[in-house]
Amino acid sequence: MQFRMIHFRYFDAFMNMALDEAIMEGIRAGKALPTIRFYGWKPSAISIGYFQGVRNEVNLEACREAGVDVIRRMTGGGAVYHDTEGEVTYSIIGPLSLFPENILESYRYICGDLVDAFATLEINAHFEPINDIMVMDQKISGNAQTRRGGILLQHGTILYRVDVEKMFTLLNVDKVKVSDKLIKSVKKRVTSISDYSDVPIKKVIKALEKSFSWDREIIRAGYSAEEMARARQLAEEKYRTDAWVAMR
Amino acid sequence: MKGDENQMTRGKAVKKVPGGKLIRIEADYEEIVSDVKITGDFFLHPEECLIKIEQMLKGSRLPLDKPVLMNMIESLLIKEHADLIGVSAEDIISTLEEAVTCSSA
Repeated sequence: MQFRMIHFRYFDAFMNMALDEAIMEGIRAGKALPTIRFYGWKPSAISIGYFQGVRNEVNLEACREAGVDVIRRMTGGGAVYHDTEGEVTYSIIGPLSLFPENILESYRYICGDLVDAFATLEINAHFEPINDIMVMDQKISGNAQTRRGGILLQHGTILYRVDVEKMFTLLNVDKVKVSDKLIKSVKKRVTSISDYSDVPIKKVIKALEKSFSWDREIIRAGYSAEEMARARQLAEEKYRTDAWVAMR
Repeated sequence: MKGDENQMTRGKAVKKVPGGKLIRIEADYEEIVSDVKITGDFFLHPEECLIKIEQMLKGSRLPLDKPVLMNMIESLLIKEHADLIGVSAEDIISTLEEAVTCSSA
C-alpha cells in the first residue's frame, strides 16, 4: 500500500492538530493517500487528551506568561508538553483496514516502527501497553490513537530532550506535590534520546522516516493546498476556540 | 464541598487504575445524581460515547445500584461498538460512588 510521507516541519499547535484532521478528511474522501507526517511545535505547547479537564491539567496563567499554546487533542491520553527543541512528533493516518483491528495490537504494530528507529540510534526501547515506549522503566515516547469514520489516526512524541522543571511550571500539579522529591521521581520515569546519545535531531527524523518506510511503498510529498486551507479553517474555527479547548 | 443555590452537593473523586489510566469524576447530587463530568487520560473509541455515559448516569438514585449501573454502561458500550481502554465500567461506577459519598460530609 502506498503511503505519502511528509518531511518534518514546524507548525503551531492549532495547525498541527488541524492538519491531522484535514488529512483524515482527505483520506476518507479518497483525495489523499494514507499519510505519515513528522512535525514540531512552534511555539512550544501543551496538548491535553480529549477527555481531560483543561483547568485540572494545565496552569493556564503560566502557559500564557511563557508563550506556550494550549490545545485539546482529538485523541485520548494525557497532557504532554511539546517543547520546540525537545521532541519530534509523528502522525500516521490511514484506513482502518491497513492496521490491526484490535486497538492494543494496532498500538503495538505502529509503535514497532518507533522501536526500530530507536534501535538504529542504538537505544534499546520496547513497547509497553497501553500506549508507551520505554527504555528500561523510563518513558521515551507517548502515543495516542483515534478512529473516526473508518480512518485511524495515531500520533505520538519522541522525546529528544526533556526539561522536567519547565514542564512542572506549565502543568497543574498539586503545589504540595511539586517537591524536589517528585521532580526527581518524574525524572526517573521519563527519559529522552539526549540521555543516551548526542545524535542531532535531524538524524532522529531520518531514523524515523526509514523505519516507517521499510514495509510501505513511500511517496514523498507535501501538504496539498486543499489540506492547508482546510487545516487553517479547522485551526481557527475549532482548535483555537474556547469551546474546544475548554470543552471539559 | 457544599453546592450551589439548588442545594446540590458537589463531590469529586479520582482513581488511578493500576496498570491503566486515571479517571476523575465530579458529580452534583442530592437524592439523585443531577450532573456528572468524567475526565481523565483514558481512551474511548468512539470518543463521543462518553457524553452518552454521562447522560445515562444522570438521574441515578442514591445509594447507587452499582451492578445495575455497571450493566448499563457495559450494554451501552456494546450497543455503540465502543472500546473503553485504561479504565473499566466498574472503575467509572466505583469512582462515581466515591464522589457521591466521600464529599457529602
